[in-house]
Amino acid sequence: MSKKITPGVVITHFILIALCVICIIPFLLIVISSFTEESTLMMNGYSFFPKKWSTYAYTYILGGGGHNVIHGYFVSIGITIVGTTLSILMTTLFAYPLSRKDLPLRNVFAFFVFFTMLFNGGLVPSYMMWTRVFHIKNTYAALLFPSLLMNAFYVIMMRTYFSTTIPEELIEAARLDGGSEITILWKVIAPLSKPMVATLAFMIGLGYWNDWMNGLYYVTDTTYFSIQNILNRMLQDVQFLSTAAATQASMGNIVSNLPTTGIRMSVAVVGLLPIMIIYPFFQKYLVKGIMIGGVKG
Amino acid sequence: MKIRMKKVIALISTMTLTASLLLSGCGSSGNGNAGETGSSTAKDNSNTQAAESGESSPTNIEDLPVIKMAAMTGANYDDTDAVEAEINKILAEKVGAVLDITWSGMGTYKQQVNLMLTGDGEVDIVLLSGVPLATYAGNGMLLDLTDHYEQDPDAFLEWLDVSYIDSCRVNGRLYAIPEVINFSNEILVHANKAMMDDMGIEADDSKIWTMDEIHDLVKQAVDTYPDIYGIVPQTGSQFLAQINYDNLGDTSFVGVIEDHGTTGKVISVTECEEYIEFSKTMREWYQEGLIMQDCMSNTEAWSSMIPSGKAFCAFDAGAYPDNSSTEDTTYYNLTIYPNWSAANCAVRLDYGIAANSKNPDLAFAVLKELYTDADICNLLMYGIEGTHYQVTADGKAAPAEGLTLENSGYSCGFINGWVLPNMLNAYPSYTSADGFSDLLRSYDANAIKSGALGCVFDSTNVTNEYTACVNVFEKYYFAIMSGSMDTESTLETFKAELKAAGEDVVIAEKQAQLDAFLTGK
Repeated sequence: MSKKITPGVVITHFILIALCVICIIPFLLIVISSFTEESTLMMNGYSFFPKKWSTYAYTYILGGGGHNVIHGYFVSIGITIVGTTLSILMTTLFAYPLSRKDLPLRNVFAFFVFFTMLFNGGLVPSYMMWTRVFHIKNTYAALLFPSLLMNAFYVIMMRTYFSTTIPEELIEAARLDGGSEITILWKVIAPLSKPMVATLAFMIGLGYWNDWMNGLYYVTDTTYFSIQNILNRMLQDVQFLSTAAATQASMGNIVSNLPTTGIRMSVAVVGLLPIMIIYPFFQKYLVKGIMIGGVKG
Repeated sequence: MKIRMKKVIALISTMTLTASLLLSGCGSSGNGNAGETGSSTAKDNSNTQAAESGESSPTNIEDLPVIKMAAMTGANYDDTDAVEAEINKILAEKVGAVLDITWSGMGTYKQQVNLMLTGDGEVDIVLLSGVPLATYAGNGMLLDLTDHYEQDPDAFLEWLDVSYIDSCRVNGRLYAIPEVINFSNEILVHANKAMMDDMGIEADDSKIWTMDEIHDLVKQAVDTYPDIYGIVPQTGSQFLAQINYDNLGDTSFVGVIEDHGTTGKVISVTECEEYIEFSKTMREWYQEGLIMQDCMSNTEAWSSMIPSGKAFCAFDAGAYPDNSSTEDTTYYNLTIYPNWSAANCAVRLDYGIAANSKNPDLAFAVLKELYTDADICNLLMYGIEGTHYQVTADGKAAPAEGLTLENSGYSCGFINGWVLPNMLNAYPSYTSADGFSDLLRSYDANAIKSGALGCVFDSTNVTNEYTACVNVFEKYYFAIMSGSMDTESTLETFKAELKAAGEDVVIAEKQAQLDAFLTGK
């Protein structure tokens, strides 16, 4: 089957390629500047064709100088896997009953979900609750639980998916065959919800991977720093040290050694990498899942 | 159906409300009681423990009460625990408590400390920076240190002038102790050393340069090296923060006091002679091409542009009591205006104690040691002697054999010793001049002091007008100063927009605070 090349197709391709290039170029620049020699970066600025290449930034962060980067990397991966699994489990276990019309007090539970979409406790009360009641400060739980574990929006998306795509008859049939509620959920509903679960897993995983707020608020011990925390801290420190208040306080005889631009760029690249690798595998589910979940039931 | 829904919702919300009220009521009173009794018993225990272990068994370090301290750092050090252990050996013996330092990154420090101070005894000793002391004190986050301090003021007066300590008073009560650092800054120009030497220009230490001389110097540099920037901003797009007018610690300069804050009258910055004069000069220089043309969108720091030879010089403010250290560095410091102490100079960085500290007495005792015990100061600055640093023949600290600042397990003092309570009570760094400590103290002692020294503006009463003025300030202040916009006409716009934003109200408030401060003095 041969496709006709019409002007419309050419223009569409042209526009899409242009958009694609606009998306890719900044990434490319980050990658290239992470491989540029520091003095070249300083003299000539960012460039796609640097005069001098260097792998110093990578030998620095992967070698002895920045072993916390490697550690942070593993923390990030661990947190993302555990967090996503927990979060999917919790979301499903809440969304599925909500989708069933025969759930007692269904509206009360739905109201609980809906309410948190509109109101939240704010930072200081949340902080006091998490640190005084649950004592999660400086533990891995601090990276897992606050804000990220359950998102009302995802619960509603999932509930909508269940109630619109899975016919009630299927559940009835399963029950007639003698399946318990758990069996029904596990053997009937779950296999049918793959696109939705994949979509949410991707979005939740992205949330965990990119999160630095929990680390900022609840973690001060560098042992628990994720890669995003390390990067955020580097950037913030550089910003702070370039304020006049800091320059006036540090006296002329004291050198400030900051992570160089190259190192900051290389940490950014390292942080980006896994997402760029995973993305293509999730892509086919993404559109499907959001489309169906987005239809109001 | 609809009515039923409404009823259900009403019922639910009432239930939630009652439940939350009940819960919060129980929670707070329960916690409160528990907290109080808990802390008081803890206190008793710790005091007795301290007395016992301090005299009989100093080996029992684990049982001593822990004083938690929040400090900021620009780097991660691997050996902080080892250094803390050494400090704790001294503290266990002298105070009967041990120290646990939480290091936070500088950029995120303010936010983390604000949260920690709301916690339940999460922190005792805390470095304060970036938030006015009056705000912390007003929120009840800090302990009143007056009584503690007055038991033995000489311990601190040995290091700090009384006027600086008094700067940390809010309504007459002391809430913090300033860090021992530089309290005065001079306005100067950092000029690339290689280019200066190449052009054969002498950078005499004691010389005060006039603006005309700087002009000729930059002109010559730009003519000799056509590819470089002449003058670059102090930081990012901020051309130069301030000259010799005092802002009472208000970084947005809504209302300034001329002549080092001695006139006693708060005026608009758009009427400040010195600001206008400087801006006009910069406009001329800008049109001559001496100033980086796109400086309003600059993101790089002079400290990277000048050493790399991308720029010739930059205006800055800082404490440079001597220039001998520039032998290792890449720029000369050319003084334009002699050093002076601004009103807020002692409250930029200071140490306080959290209001909900479990052991306030011990915390203060530890804080005092951090200022006065030379061994602790050295440990905090450079780590363990032999492991992290060595003392050179001329009595300075240098990284230990085979170590650099990057691979050392602890190098706080070499990188940013100014975050620590008392850097002058330790060995000077190997990069500093001979007799650095005395040099800096006499430099500060000879500084011009602001007429409002210790008066720090608190914008709480005029938040709305102040915020509006800050937005206007950000639009024009540095743009005018860098000469990249026409001075006369932009100044008029700046003035008009500030007036519309409610500048008069802020100035009146600032004047009232200043008057109250001056009469109370």
